[in-house]
Amino acid sequence: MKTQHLTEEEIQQYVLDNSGGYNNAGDHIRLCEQCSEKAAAYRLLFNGIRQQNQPAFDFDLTELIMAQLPSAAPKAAKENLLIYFFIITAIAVTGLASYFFREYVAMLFKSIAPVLVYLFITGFITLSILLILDMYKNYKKKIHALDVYPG
Amino acid sequence: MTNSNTGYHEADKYLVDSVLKGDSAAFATIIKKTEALVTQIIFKMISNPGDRKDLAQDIYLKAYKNLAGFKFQCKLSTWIAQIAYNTCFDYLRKKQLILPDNLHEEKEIKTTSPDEAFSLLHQKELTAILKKEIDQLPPIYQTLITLYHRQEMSYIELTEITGLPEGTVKSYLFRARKMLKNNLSRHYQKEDI
Repeated sequence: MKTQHLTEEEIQQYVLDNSGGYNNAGDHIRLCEQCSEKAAAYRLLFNGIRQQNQPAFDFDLTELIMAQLPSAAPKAAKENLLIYFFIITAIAVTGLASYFFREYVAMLFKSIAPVLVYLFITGFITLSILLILDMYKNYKKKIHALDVYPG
Repeated sequence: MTNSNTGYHEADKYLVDSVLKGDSAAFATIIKKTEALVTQIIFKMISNPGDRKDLAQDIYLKAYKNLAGFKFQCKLSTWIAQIAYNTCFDYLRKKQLILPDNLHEEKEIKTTSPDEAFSLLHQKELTAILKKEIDQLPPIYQTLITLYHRQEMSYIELTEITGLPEGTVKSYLFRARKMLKNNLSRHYQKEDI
């Protein structure tokens, strides 16, 4: 049996699991008045939330929406088709260009000094890393904006 | 996929196909089936009653326009809840209401046994006080706690709706419950004095 008091997280989990059975948390709660009170408070809280009234609009939502629906049935978004079209065109153009000008492309790399090729690759990798870091920073910023109680 | 999943999947597919074929009455059925969930999200995230009506219309019109793009990767109700959450979230972001100033900070209660005092609350009284306390929580906490405990949605469904990682959803729920419990205990003690 756990001899130290349970953490809030453990008590919440115990109540959520509805653990009536014997386990470390359950054994402790049965013998510890303080943790048992906390568990009882959480139980009451969860029941209280379940018993909250379902909010409702004071108008008929279905009627309101149905009156505003466009007469035509919804169709697949044209933007998606456009995006696919551009992707396929870009792949086709690149593929054809690579095929017809393959000798020139090979010559281009042969004629460039290896140092320049390394520089190009290093630059590409560095830029990619910077972009990924920027994306990660933006992601963290957005998550932080949601996190009203950080830490 | 389980049988129950197949069941809702087929029912959703039938409704969506009907709407796409021009049966607008099927969309009325979709609204009726999802209204309770969407209303919960709107009421928890938006405090201004006037804006709620506009947002409700906006949500369902968006759902209708984008219905052809629904790929059945989740329940139809979850997808519409996702639209509801994102629409409300965008509204809050525009109004800069994501971070409310007047939040109840979590404070340690120094008096003895607040949990015992709280557990003495009468259930009816508790429901009324709890409503007020839930309304004081940040909109995202209100939404998560209501969807999880009242609408009995799973963590997975909550991550699908909010787009937040599962760990973040769990962490927000933990904090929201702790805040509610502490605030209710404090409230009860004030009343008692």
